[in-house]
Amino acid sequence: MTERLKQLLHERSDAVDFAMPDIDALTRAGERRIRRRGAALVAGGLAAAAVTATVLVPQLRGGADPVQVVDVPATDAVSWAKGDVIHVGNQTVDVGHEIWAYSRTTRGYVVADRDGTVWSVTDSGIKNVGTVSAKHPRIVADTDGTLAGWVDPSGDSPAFVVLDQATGDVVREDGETSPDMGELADEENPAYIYAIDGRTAYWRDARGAVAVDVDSGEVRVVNARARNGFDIIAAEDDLVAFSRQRGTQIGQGPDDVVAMLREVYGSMGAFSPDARFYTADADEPQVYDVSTGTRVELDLDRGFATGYEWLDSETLVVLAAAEAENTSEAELLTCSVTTGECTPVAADLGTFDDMVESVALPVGERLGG
Amino acid sequence: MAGRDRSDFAEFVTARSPALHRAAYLMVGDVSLAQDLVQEALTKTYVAWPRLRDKRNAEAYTRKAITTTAISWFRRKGWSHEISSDAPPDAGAPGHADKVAQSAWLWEALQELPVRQRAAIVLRYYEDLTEAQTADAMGCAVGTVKSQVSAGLSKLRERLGDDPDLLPLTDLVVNR
Repeated sequence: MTERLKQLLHERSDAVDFAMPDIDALTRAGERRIRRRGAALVAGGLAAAAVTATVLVPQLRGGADPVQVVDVPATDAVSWAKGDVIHVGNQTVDVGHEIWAYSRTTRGYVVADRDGTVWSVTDSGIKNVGTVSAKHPRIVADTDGTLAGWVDPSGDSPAFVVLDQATGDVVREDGETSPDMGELADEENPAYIYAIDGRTAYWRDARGAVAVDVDSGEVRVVNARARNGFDIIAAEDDLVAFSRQRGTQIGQGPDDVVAMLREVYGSMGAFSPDARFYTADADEPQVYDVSTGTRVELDLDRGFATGYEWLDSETLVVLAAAEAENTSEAELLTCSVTTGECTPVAADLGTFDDMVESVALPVGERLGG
Repeated sequence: MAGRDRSDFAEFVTARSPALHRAAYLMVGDVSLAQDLVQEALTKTYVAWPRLRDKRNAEAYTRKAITTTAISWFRRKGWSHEISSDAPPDAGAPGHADKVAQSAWLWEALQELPVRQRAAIVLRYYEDLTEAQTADAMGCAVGTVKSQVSAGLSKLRERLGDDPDLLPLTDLVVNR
């Protein structure tokens, strides 16, 4: 029954002759674009060289080898950090710097220390890769990709920085920010990095919320009216979770509605790696099937519980406690969204008050704000 | 230059540009616009060439660039096709419209669809891509492809009537 439609499409397309593209013109245009990109978005080798120079600084001061070789376990496992150490199941990674906030990619961890120095932790070593706000660190990453990003406030104007942990390449962009821009999500006119999805970084600059192809430098304005750091919550597989007055809207753009999660107002959230499910932060697990917008129930009887990251397309990591009190003992669980079953995986983290003081989870920010 | 081999790229352009042009034309319905679209997509492909470690992925990359660029252009520039508002022939009356007229109406109705719906239909029914491949080309989720194809076919059916010989029934669309 599709034959008539198919036949029409073939008839129409076959009826037109197209001239062969001018290959020299194409390559000239491509080379111009590569040069232009290099001027606007510092890429690859140049930035990597700068990073290398930064890493060498401790050595010149008489410190140890600046690139400490570590064995990084697979990152798609439950992890938490305390002091200088990331705990990944029964394994540990000693970063050698106090872990203030961290995120993970498929290649390793990206850590902010108390001073705002950003460290890339991979099998290739632990390398200084930049600077983030020491007071309010925020590192976003694609957990099923290799990119991580943050805002560097150390220059005249804030700069967006994206690290590829697969190659060590760093791109930096500060052409659309100004010195008066804020850094917190709820500040007026912040320079704010929302999320990273594959090779695309979502951030807010003078143009509003933009999606930047990290490789080509191509910029797409997602929402010119984006006011602050809450307009976009998460992104995965080109789906974006937008904060709306009625709740959380999931779609490819502000005008596209794949799912409208009414009354879901979590300021943080995470898509499963296949973007089939979405979890929003709340006092109880709020997990939704993106294709239907329906809530997925988990078999979890706790006074407080919130999902915050996905290990795979069906396994959600949940932070929970028996009571919704800061003095309650916190625990981490993994929950299957297909069976609803939850399994405790870590229960020696202390109380919520203890955690805020000394523990970091791979959400890229300090716990408790 | 290492990584961006001009002869490989030229070979790719020579071999694949006719097919890429045809698909672009179906998406935008205009010859010169299709040429501009393919030129832009091939320029992006040239820039990305060193990243395309397996050059067999080049066509998929270019197809994706054509699709997403078309969607972006239509959105950004607010383009739409000026379509006659005349009523279509009564598709419900067998034999009333011959196939030539029917094709003309189907083509016009197709061009009247929102660009994402049109792109989804072209990728599914012309390129014969699976839903997953279509999702990849459009840079969206498989569920979005299903909804875009379904919505597009529904609109075509509204305009052209419920002739199963002309349009696939939504529930009979093969999901691969």
